[in-house]
Amino acid sequence: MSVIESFGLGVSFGTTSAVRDCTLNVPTGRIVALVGSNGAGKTTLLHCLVGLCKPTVGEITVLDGTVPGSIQARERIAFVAQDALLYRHLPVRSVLTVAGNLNSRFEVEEAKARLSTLDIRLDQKVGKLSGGQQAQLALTLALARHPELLVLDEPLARLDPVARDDIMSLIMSSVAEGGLSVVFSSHVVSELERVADYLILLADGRVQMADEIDRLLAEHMVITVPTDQVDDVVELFPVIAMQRSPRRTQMLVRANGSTELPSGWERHEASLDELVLAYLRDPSATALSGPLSIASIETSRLTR
Amino acid sequence: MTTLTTPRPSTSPDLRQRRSIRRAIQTTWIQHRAALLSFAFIFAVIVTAIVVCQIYTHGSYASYVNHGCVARPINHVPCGDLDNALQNMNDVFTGLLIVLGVLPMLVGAFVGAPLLSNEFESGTFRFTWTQGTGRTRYFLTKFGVLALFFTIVTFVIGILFGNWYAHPFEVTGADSHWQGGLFDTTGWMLAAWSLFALACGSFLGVITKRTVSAIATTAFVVSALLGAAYEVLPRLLKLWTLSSSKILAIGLNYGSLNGGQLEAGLNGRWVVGGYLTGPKGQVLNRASANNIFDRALSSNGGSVGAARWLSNHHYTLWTTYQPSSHFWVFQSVEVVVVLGLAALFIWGTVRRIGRS
Amino acid sequence: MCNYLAMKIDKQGQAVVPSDPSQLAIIFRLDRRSGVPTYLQLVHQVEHSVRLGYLNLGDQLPRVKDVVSSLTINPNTVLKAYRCLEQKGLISARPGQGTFVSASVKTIAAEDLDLLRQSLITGWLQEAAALALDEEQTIGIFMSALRDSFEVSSNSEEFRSRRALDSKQKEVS
Repeated sequence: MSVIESFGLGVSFGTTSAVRDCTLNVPTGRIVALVGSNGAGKTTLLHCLVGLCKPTVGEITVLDGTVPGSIQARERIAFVAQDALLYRHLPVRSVLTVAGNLNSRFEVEEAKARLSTLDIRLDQKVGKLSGGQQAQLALTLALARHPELLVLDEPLARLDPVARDDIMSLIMSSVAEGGLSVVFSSHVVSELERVADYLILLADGRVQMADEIDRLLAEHMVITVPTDQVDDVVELFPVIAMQRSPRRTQMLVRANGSTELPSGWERHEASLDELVLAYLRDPSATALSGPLSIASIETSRLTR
Repeated sequence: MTTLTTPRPSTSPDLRQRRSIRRAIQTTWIQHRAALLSFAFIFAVIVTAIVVCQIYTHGSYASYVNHGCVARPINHVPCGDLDNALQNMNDVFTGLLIVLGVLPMLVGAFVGAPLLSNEFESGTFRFTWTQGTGRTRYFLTKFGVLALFFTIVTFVIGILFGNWYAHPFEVTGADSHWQGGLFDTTGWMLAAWSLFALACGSFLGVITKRTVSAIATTAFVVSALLGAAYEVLPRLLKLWTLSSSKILAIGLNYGSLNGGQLEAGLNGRWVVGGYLTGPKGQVLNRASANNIFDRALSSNGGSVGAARWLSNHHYTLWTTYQPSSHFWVFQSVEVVVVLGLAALFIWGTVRRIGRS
Repeated sequence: MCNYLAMKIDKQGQAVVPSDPSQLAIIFRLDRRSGVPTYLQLVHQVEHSVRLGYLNLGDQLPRVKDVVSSLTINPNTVLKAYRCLEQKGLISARPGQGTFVSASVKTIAAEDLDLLRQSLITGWLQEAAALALDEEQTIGIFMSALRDSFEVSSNSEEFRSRRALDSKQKEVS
């Protein structure tokens, strides 16, 4: 059961490539955070999921082998674009009607009920709604389709804290109702841990990290050692980030489950925030345990 | 507001089809209400103008017919007056002709062009194209509804104008449905050009992805092609002509169909040209033909006398013309070409949407 | 440590009536700066409430959906916490009805607690005082030791299984 499966996916626009060599295997039922700095290719990757963008090389399938953009995929995937772009000149009621007409499944009464709890009147013009309300409307339209996968491009950008919490809360409770996977992009790192359970980190179009957040946290730690022993650490573990002082040096290392450290080395759990920031600062670092192991299985099959 | 819920599997295909048609019309109406209302208003004004002017013209035309002026030379006094009266009303007719001439361009620029460019420009395509209905079907559905509306309305207007209102002016020789302007505003042609403009606008909208550029390019392309058709038609009419010696005419202003000044029976035909043959059957060149005409006209008796002089001296005036039966052939050819181009644009649009 | 499982979330009953907060047996809150994982905070809060008698046998815990929407957290986190509590035998899920408190935490006798406290004061704390540690230094060392002690006992099991998995992957590649 996988919600995204891609192999060697690449998308280029002309000579510039937006996404490169992207191999993913994301299990169903997750809330996936797609994180990366601006221009890292987040939007392109999301557009590939919903069929707005076709891969230049490689393959991508969604919801267990469905081709993005096909009827089967479109009926099961809802997408909320960045800035929640909707028909600004239309009243909310008309947007509901259009959305209802464009989908074989659309629970219009459910959508109306939700909008009324959000104080969004049906006769209001979409363009007259606040940014938060527009985001809420777009999300309501998406959820009324009862999708199996909800894809959101920067759902929290440009929203005030209350609107952010409301939006995330709505997404979370929809997931709690069951049968829904979520992929959302964000360049806000803080509080990801609370809402997401799977992280894809993109840097310069490449996947830097893609795994369950619990596993990523278990596989990384912060160790503090006397500065003259830094080389010993570098020998033992891949170091992602390092903060030196004359006496002691703090390092974020990738330590695959090994817990026994020499005496004098202090160990702390890494927080998701510092993990993500460290990787974002060093685009050459990768932690691709999941997809890499699949790739290695395939090559071993080939060599046999 | 309609309630749309999960389709029940028990619905019959017929009911489902009817519902999808209603949905298509509803969606198109919601999204293009402003343009549709504006055009409905324009169409209402045009139809009213045509009806009012036709009724106004009809009185003069009826007495023109009653006086037997259709088959009589223009210098017959009451016929001359009535003809003048009709000629004056022709100014309004010409004005309407110009309005109808630019109508397809307006439809293309203000309905066809924004159809997709608007979605690209505002970014709403990311919403629409990720709904259950595919982008191709979404476009074809909306295009179909709009095409149906504009085709029907422009067809009716074309019939009212080109085949009803224009009739008196054709009979009196002020206009002819063979002429570029009127040729393109008869029922079939006006509808075909409007459909073409709609398709052209959609295509240029998906190419430019900007509403203003789409409107500008569509206006240019549609006007250019309509202008080209206007220019090409007289040349095409010279092909596949018939000749007749039975029609006697005055002067060498061939090509302008002055039905009233010619003999009866010419209505519906299009005189393309003419030539003069001498007593031995030889074709006279332009200079000697002019010379003979001058001599014929200098004899007394006006046009009738001139004609008598020509026949007495064994000169025969031959006229080449398109018989009225050819009119529909020419119309069909142009309709096929225009609709073919429209189909090409629709195909191109669908391809471009699929790729972008 | 509760094992993390790829959980399929099942709908909690047919009743979609939003729960009245005043009727809830427990209201969770999150301390985002504590550094304690979210699910553990939930576990601790339930344990705490049971220990102090705020939650009694048979009380219903809030539905996953309600916890999720009030705290804006991942539903899997709540499920993980509930599963953890279930494994501890504190709560039990009744399919189609909800999750209920199924046990009360064993209470420790007051004299036992007092004995423990006394041993800390007369033993370790006196040694610390002998080394002239001030209050903050004492707290720092105690907290660090406490964290290590709990982490080793809770993590060892998970890391053992992870290492086995890693070695398996190495074999394959």
